[in-house]
Amino acid sequence: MTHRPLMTKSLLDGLKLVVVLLICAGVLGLTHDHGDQAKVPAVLTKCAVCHRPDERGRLSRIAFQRKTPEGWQQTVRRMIRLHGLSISVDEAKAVVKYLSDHQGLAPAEVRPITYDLERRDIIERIPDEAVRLACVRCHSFARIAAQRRTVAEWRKLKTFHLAVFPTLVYQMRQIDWPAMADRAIAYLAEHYPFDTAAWRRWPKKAEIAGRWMIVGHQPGRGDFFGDMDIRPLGEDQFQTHQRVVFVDGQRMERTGRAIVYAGFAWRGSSQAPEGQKIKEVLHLSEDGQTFVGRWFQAAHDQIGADVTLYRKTHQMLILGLSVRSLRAPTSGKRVTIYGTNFSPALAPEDIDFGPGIVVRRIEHLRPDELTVVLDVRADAPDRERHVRIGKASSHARVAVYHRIDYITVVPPLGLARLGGIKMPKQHQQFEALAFTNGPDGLPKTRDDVALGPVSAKWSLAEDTTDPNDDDVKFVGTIDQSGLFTPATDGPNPARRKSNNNTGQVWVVATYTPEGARQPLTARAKLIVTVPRFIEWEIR
Amino acid sequence: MHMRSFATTLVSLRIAGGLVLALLCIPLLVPGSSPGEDWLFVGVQFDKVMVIDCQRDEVVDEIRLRHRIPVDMIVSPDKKYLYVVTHQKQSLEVIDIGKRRVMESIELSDGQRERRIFGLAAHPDGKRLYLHVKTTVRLLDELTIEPPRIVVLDLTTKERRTLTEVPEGISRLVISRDGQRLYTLGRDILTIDTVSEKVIDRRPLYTRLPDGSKLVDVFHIYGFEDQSGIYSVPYYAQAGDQPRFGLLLLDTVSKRLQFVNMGEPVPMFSTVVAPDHRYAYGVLHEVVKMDLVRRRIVRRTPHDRIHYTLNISSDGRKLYVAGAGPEVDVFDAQSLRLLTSIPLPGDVADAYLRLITLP
Repeated sequence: MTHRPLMTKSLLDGLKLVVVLLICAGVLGLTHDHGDQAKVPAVLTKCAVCHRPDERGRLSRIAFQRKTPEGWQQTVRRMIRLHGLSISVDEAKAVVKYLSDHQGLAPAEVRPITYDLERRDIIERIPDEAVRLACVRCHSFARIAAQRRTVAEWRKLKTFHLAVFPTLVYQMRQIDWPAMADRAIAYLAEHYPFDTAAWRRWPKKAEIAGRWMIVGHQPGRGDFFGDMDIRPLGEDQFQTHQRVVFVDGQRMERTGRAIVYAGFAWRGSSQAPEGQKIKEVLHLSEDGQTFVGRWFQAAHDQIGADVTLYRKTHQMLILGLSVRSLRAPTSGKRVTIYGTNFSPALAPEDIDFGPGIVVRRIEHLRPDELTVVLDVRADAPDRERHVRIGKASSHARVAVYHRIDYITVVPPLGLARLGGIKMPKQHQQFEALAFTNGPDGLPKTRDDVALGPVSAKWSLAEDTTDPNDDDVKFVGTIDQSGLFTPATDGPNPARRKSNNNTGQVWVVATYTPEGARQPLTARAKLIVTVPRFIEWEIR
Repeated sequence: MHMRSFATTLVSLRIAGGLVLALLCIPLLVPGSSPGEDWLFVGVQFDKVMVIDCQRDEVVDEIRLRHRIPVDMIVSPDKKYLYVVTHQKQSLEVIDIGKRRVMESIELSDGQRERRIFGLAAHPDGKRLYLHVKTTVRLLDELTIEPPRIVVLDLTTKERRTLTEVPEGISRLVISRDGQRLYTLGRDILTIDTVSEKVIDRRPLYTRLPDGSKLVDVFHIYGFEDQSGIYSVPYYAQAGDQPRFGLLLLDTVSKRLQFVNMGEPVPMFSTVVAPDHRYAYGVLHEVVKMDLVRRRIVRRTPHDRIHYTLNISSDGRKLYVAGAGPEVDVFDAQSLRLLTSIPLPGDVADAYLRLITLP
């Protein structure tokens, strides 16, 4: 009895000690560490050094964001640059792959912003004024819309920006940036939430290996067709072999490799034996039958091609034609039809070009290419029509016209960047498109018929903004494919105030249609500006 | 003879000693200088403050800093010290002007906190500096901030204490000549009573001006009141579809704030008011002279170089123009004729030209 109090005291002291140790351990996160660390995927071990896992193994910050592969790559780059992350290239690639697969974007979420991933310079439509003012004055809207975050994570973006870029409030002094950022974040949290049905339902896996048919268009060079063999090389990694033929007869073969993220985001590169390295950014449709995207030069991403891949089956498929339009009347015109599984038994009457066009004969027939000789009657209506062979699927369209009424230049506003000394040049490719006025006889109305690209002559003209304007002498040159090549970067002592070779000019296309007496002209504005000194995966 | 010689020598030594002592007692602020002379101090990349003798318009010395990139600079009220902000705004280096060297560097950042100075002012008592400090906190998995604040730095003890938290966006601090009012310039102008250390007024800037126009931009990044006592910066406003431009003037003596409309906009990065308060000058692509009484531009001179800022000599006759290049260009303030160009060993690091007139 006499010892009981002592024993009780010792027991109590012992229990107190255990409780204190447990509390300390809890505060320090020690009790959770081993269990949660075990839940952290091995590939994210380096991330978990700073991003501690919660009770469900979710890494702080990381687990509450979703991004494209480019977005995650950008994040890893920032961790290296700002936070001293030491990571090998292979480790970084594995991190990007894992996060893109597990915390990526669904096809429907990526579709609105593929233009940025595909390196297209476009004028964006910004759906919210606060986002435009607070965010898009520095970033593309795509960079923002390519993310999904929890509300808390969207909010952290504001303090992150104030912490890393303390001068931004001075650059944005015309607005109350912190207040505007709050409004922008409210919009983003509502419209770009972390948890979406689109991502939950997306299976994140698709069957990709096999043969795919290629339809493409390279501005300044023309349409092309072909096929690509895709062979598995490892998990979500592929080896490729492409064969394409341009409508001018040039043929090209390339081999390459690709990784597919989240079951649909194709990121590849390929190269002809002595050609430029080409990057491929394509996205698979939800039904798994079509890839759509762009191929572009790795060194000059402005030079590239719009590309669609169709999965090859045993069915006949018509991909396109060697021409986009046919003049009426015309007789004995040769037109090549590109596709797959063309039957050797095809006869001229099987091929339907629509009213007013008669296929006289098939001159040449292969399983993937056939050439016909046709007549276009004078009464053929001016309009675009599908070209069909029996019940085969067809992506081939051709327009009929009696007269080319006008041409336009695309893009109507071009942007090039000086380079060649410190930074790479950013070119701008222009293309002249022909139109006929359509039934109303008026130009630039909805019933006009697009006739496709024409081979225009190209020149530059001064866009006079002040009496001493002399930009056209300095900004650069345009070749006869419509490719503008900017001048070199840096101060030019030959210019007033040693200005850079920047400027604003007109790009003029001149085209004389067959049989016309007067040439048609059209022009587009071109801004030639300073290099992009900081390049990001998403701009 | 010997005794006489010894006595004479002793007297001579005493006289010489006295002279030396007397000379030592003269406040020799800039070696080789005289009272009333102007001296210009310019921060250049990457780690120097250049000393320019404005009597000859020549560089006469350079002061090596302890950190890189001087980005802001003020002068102590007694004109003995320069306070130079360096090291990505995280350090404050104290230069003894007489000795032409850095005496100490006050480091603001520690541990997880990176503290940066965005504007500073010296109290006329010479005992304290006011700093506008923005703080970034580096957590393990997050970068965040603390509210910006006005900090009082005791120059004797080097102790710092927070005077008040302030809104984001303040770029400059201006103190009244009597030291009673501290003004912070951001999207609002806050007036702080330095005695009670309370914010006693908050005037929103981006609002309608007395003439009805709507202010759209105030470029209060650079501005010097060294010679005139009037801090001035350009502003841009919109009256209907008419763009307007003028000067925001803050008189540090009378404590009066004024918006002086100058009419058609001329792009300017910064302005300075002449000692006579009649004229003001602005720069960017050209050097511009403005009449503050008649409220109009009276002369413009295109210049081959872009400049960000300027200061004016104490007699109002010369303009010192710099920024965006390795030189200080000197203009005649009357004709706006380029008098000379003073070459520097590097680009002007930020556009702070401090001009001291020796007491």
